[in-house]
Amino acid sequence: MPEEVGVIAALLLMMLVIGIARPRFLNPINLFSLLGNTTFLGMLALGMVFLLAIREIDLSVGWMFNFSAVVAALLMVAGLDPWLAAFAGILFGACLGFVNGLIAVTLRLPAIIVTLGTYSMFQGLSLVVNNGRAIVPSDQSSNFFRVISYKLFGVLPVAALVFVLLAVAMHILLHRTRFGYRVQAVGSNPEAAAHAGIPTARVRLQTLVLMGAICGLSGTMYVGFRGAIDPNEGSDFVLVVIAAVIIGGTPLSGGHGTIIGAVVGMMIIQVISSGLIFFGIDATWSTFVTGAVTVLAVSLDRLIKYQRSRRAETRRETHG
Amino acid sequence: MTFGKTVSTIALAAATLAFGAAGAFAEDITIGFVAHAQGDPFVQQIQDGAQAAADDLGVKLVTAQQAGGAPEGQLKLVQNFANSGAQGIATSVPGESMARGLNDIISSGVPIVQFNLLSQAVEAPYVGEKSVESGRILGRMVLDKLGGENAKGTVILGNCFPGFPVLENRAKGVEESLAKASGIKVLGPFDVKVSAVDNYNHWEQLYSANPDAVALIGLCAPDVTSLGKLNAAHGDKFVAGGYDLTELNLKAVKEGHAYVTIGQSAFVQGYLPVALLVNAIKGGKKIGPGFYDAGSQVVTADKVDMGNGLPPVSFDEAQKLASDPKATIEYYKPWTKTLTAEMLSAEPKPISAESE
Repeated sequence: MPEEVGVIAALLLMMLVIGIARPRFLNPINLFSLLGNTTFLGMLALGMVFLLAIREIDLSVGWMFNFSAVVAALLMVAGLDPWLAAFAGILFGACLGFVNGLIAVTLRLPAIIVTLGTYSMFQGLSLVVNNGRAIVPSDQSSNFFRVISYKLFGVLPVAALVFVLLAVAMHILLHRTRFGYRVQAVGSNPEAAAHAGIPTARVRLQTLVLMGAICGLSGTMYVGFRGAIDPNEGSDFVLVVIAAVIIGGTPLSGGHGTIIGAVVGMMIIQVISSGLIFFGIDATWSTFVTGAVTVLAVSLDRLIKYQRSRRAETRRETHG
Repeated sequence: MTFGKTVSTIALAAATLAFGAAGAFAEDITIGFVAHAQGDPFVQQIQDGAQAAADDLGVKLVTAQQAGGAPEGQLKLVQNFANSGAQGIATSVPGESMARGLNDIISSGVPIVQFNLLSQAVEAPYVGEKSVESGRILGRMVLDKLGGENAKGTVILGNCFPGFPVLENRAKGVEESLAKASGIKVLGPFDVKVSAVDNYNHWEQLYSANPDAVALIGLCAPDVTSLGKLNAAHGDKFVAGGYDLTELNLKAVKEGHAYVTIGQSAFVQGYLPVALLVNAIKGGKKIGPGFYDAGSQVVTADKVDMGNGLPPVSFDEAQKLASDPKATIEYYKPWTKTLTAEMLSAEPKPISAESE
């Protein structure tokens, strides 16, 4: 059984409970809408899995998302072809990640400390560039906007499909490539990884650049999907992204990560938010209920993992 | 406890949570109400107004809020309401990137009314203040206090959410009024953040850097309270002005640490969107874009103007209204009685009137 079975079970249980009480919740339109809502933060969660796996945390993800989107949108406003502007936005995001990585590697600082500073730097620079106002590309006739916001069969957003494909690619990258193994090796034991000849500094740098590029991709797709980027968008992303990754089963201690878990973790967060509204739970209670249901979901996951490890132990004792 | 029992307990708890809330949609009409800045007293006053409308009109109101003011989070809440079957949704619109998503919901047949924060790209009516004009009023009040067109000195302007069109408009109005005195130099608008602690800290830093400033003006609800505290700590040396009739803001004005606070009729901003939605749903009418002026209120220690043709109140009564939703409902009764189906169905002003 895959290790994510616990969180998947928690997700399905929640959907079932809400669906029984409110059948409308299971309407495909609502379910695809939930998947669409998962897209932009979900992408950031995919990158954050790599960072937690290498024992790092990037606090600047929300503002890398925002700044990349602002740059891409401004290039579109300036008349650059939106596809090229989007590509430039992704590259710009990678550059921001490179800045984080370069400082962290050169000064041998944990990324969490570096990004504590760049969080405000990127926010501030983005505000300077966008002049404190939303950037709305006036000409949205390009097929960039049509393609990104198109809904396949009228319900499945193309952006959500890109998210799913990216998740598959990131899963393969983490579990089937030399880079992925190196990330997990460095996160598991940096000294041992260095002794084994793994260039730990370069792997850290590459991971932070990857995070930046994903922020760029998510940000530019956001511009295509929503048709605008606001100056404060992304301000509340980081905690949700980290929460989704941890709910999904990636440990803070590093050495391991799960992309599937992160996707499911983000879905759990969206399902809780949606469920509260379907049940008509008032805003004053919703914050508490969100926390309580998250704890329940994580408890279920941990219980299943505990039960599996107990069974494995029992089997070992029986055969030993 | 065995594993099986534990899982059953969790499932039972979740089911209890689910079915416990099963009676929430008892009424025929359910209105979703989505606001930003959870915990902000001014936004709570708006919600109190919305709840009063729901009670008066016999509909179910369900509220959802997000902690900050990020558009994506707000849009998701609105989408969840639309998918859950709410017949109408009132929402503040803290960003342009919500426009496309909101217009999709409107196209699907769910009426939407914007309040407090708007996007002119959304094809829905807006209930709020005339933002540039309210800024002009605030700037004029502060300028008069400083000595009118002959006033001199530095004035600091703070904005808790740079980029919000309504707040940018207020700043524009304040600057327009202050520009009438050539001796006044305006610094800012600076980002002063929205949480109470952050807000005070930012104002304190701004004042430390500009100790000769003659006036400090904020554009959001927490500012007057912060500026009142700051002024009290420095011997009331500057003129403090800002927005909203929260309990703490009025206390700062009453104690003489702040000079003026401009109200934007929170009760009206909550009540009117719900009334418009219910009228449209019951009458099967489509509601299009337009502007409904919630009115501005001007409060100094000497004068209380509650706007909307409401009867005059003393400062103490204004303070009571800020802290007592039931008293507010009673006070606004003469205004709520004016909301006839005919009035609610009348063509509103064009949405551009908001920023005139």
